[in-house]
Amino acid sequence: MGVLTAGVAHEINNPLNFISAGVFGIENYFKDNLNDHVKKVTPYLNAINEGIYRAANIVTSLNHYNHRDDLPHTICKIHDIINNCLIILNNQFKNRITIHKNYTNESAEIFGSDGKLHQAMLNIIGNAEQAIEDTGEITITTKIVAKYLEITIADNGCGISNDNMKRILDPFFSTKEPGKGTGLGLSITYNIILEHQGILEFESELGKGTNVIIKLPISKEEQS
Amino acid sequence: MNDKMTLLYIDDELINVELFELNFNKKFNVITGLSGLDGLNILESNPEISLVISDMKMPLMSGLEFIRIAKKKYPNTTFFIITGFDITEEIAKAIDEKIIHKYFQKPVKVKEIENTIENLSLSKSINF
Repeated sequence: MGVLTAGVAHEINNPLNFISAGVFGIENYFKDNLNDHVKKVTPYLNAINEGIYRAANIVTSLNHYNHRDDLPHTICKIHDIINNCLIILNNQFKNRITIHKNYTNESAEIFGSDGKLHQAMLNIIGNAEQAIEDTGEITITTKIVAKYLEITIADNGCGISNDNMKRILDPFFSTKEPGKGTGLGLSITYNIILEHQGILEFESELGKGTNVIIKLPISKEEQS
Repeated sequence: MNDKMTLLYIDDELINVELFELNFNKKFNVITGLSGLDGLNILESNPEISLVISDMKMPLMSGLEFIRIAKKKYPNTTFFIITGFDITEEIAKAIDEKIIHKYFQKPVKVKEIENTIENLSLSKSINF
């Protein structure tokens, strides 16, 4: 989910507004001038309205992942963020990938940008999903280690070769098929983790899978 | 003159402006403009405007910047903002400060705006 996608989503709002306001006008025109026809055109108008409704919902959910630098940092519940990302990716997992969650019972809260942390988690979990060609498992573990919250996303997918490992954070580096990846996901994620004074680590073995470990400082405001 | 309420709609997208006018002109006198600056000029020469609806994302002057200037000059006028996003901090702040009465999300639901305006005029007439 790149920055580009979110930007494009926002630009869709105006054309969506044209359609929505246009169809409303047509509906009223029929009611005022062609009342006999209202019943016959209603299914078509309903179909258009349903389309607008669904497209608007997609735009709203994409906006959630947008770069919103103007938003101040807040207390972010990491487990909620991970769960939201799992819901978004649910279609890709279906009947193919089993998700295991080993969440800590301690409070897993970070002081940060809710939108950006969503984007980072979505990129990592999305990569894990794409690394699994057929069926497989993704295990998400959270634990508190000293003053850090440690999140491990482990997949048993294709793994990363030593040569590629050196380049995975480079912008526009991608091993995915054209159209499947922008090559920006991990570089954006790395920057987001850095902005949160966190650490991003990878452990991988070709053919066996990859562990991505994110360490984020625990919310400083928690004690107050 | 008729007894319909006069409202001003500001949006930099011409199609939105045209459709807004068509959809609302049965119940309201609609005046439109394509920028915040337009809006300020129109308010100056049309004192009968009692309600303003502005798009948020516009070049040069955002909808909120326009409303902040206009509200100072016309404190009795009611202002609404339309945004493509969920509510942002700065819009929430403007609502708290009572600079904006309410925000609407795109795509705009005509009925929702009509109902809001009707409720508003009802509560105003009770206060009088």
